[in-house]
Amino acid sequence: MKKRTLINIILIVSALAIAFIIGRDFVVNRQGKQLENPYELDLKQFAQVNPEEILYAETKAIQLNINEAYALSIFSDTMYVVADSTLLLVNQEGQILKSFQLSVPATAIAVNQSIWLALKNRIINLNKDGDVLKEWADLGPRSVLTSLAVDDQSVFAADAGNRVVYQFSKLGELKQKLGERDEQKGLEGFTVPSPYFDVALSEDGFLWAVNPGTHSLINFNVDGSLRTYWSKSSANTAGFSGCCNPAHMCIATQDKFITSEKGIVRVKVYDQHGEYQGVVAAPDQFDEYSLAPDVCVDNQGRIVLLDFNRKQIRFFEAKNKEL
Amino acid sequence: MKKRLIKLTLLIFFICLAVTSFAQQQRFPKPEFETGYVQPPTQQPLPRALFLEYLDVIVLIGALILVSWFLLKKRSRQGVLWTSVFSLLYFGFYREGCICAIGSIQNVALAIFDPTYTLPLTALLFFLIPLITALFAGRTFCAGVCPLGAIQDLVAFKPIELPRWLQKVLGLIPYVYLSLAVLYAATRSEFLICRYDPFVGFFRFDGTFQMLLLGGLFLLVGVFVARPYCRFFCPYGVLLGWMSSFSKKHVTITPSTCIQCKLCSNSCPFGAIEEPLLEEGKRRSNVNRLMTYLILIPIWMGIGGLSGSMLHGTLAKFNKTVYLAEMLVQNPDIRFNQENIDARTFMQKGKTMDELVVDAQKIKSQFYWGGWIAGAFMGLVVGLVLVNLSSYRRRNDYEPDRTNCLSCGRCVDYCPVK
Repeated sequence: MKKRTLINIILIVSALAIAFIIGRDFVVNRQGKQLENPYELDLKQFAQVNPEEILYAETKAIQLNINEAYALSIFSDTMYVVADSTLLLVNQEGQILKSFQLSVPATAIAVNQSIWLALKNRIINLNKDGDVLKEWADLGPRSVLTSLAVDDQSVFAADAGNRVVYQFSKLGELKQKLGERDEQKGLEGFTVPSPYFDVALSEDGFLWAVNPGTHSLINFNVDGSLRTYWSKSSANTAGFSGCCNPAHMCIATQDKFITSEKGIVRVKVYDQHGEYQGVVAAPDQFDEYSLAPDVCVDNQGRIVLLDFNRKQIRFFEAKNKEL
Repeated sequence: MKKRLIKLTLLIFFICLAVTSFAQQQRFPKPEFETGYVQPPTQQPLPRALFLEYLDVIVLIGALILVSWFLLKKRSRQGVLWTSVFSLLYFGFYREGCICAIGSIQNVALAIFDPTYTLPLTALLFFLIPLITALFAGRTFCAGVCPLGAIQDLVAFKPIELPRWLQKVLGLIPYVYLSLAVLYAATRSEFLICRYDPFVGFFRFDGTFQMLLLGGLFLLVGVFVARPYCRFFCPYGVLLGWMSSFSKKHVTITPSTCIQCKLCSNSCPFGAIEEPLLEEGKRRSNVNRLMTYLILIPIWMGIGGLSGSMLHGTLAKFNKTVYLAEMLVQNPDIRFNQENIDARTFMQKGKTMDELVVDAQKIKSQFYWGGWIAGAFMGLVVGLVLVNLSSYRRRNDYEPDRTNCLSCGRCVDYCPVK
């Protein structure tokens, strides 16, 4: 009799528990009710950086009186900032030396003896007084130019729309397309999920391009074949994460790579072999939901960031001067 | 020669499996973060090659034929038991509980009410084949093919008999569940049966804590109350019961003359064996009672339909569009709350509030009419239960209740008449 009573108690408690679980789940986890995203990866843990890994300190910031910033380049002691529909020439003290009106906002800039601007799908060349020297034909409606790099003979343009890097002569003649899928050249093609696609030239004149979808940087021979590459895919500080990183990149002395990432916004430095060296600017040094800053290196070896959210040019110097 | 043929067949089968696993590899594998990130459990397993889906149908047909043969020809409980173990391994653990005849109710309901939904042929076959089989051989699907039934059958160690009245009351739950499952599927709100499948977490070795707990509780209850999910929850069991009532051939307890030893009745853990019955009371009053209950059926249906329609507002709140619309109308500022994933998704779609409200009203209207139909159906069920209780059918021997008998074959095993 006692046994039967015990069984009855077990059954009643279990039945109530079943009814409670189903009823509670049905009401609490109802369709459309705001729930925790079960697929969410909490990125906060990766935004933490060991202070010992931060090799640079912010030394100066120049506030720009602009609405939108787009790109930054440095030549000699002058900084060239594309902002709104203008090109600003700014000195180290933050004084605006010159300002040129542009027909449309530029998406990328490179400067040597003259100024090269990408206007979404075409390239124009200005002299330092803002006069248009050359204006090349557009590259079609699909083209989205996101980065430029220039040397004495060529202009390299990264096209996120067509997922290719163009090499033009200074006269606008297309020499070759770099990075298209080509098994003979060992190239699997660029993966560019969003308009973040950067290029830069190394000290010895070889082109490096970011392959953001695979978190890698690719180095090309002169003939467009694969020279070398390196890749770091990880959400940890030493790697790149998300759909498309690094978003921006430049090359400093000794072919060190300075990279800027979106998502977990941070700027880092890698050696010439792609080995992680340390952090220039940690995520907590940017606003929440910030964009990846554009990166450059000036003559003094300082790393210069164009902070799109704060609309500032920010300078970072190595804590250890030997770096 | 035969052995060679079997070996060859098995070899081809496993090669096919291997080839398919290559073919379905994702082009881009799941993102692998070096972070210990764990993919949350999903309701559905990964899709597989079409021919393997047809293989599932063939296995289903094969298992149904085998169980029917064991029951009707061989009268072997052992055969049914081992087939159910196979089904548990194949449809449960290998196929991870999907595709499933029980869940296919929702696919069929959705296909009927939503012309944009394409019903997979395999889902239709999984829905129809066990029902057609039940029409000829009783609930052989429940006996040895359903993995949910099999897992419960294996833990029914100490079954007790529940009072008849309690069985009747609990036996109404599957009808409510069926009504709600069809209503929510037809309004594109939710696949309730899949969401509350208590054993799928075990089959996939994966599941939220509360779903594993739910499965564990069902199994705990199943130790004392045999197959509680099948008897008091399963909505597909309702349809199978109807079909089985008209089955051409149903398992019989004894192959010849019943000696009325009552062993079968004691052996049945489901209380699905009806005892010999003689008419009690006066015939005229019995007939009068039956007629009264028959006349009351439309009234039950009306009351049920009205109640269902009155509940439409509450029921519709569990539709995500209705819920979102009501939430945003009451608190328009939520639209701009980046933390609210539903509001953010709505804003990104580019729809206006007016369009959302119109959509929500349309769905509420569907719930209104669906509530009427579901309520009327429940009223009909209650009315028929009362009619069934008051109708007299003379029985001289112990016979299985064709509607509720799960054709497990235990009674066959216990019957001393061979």
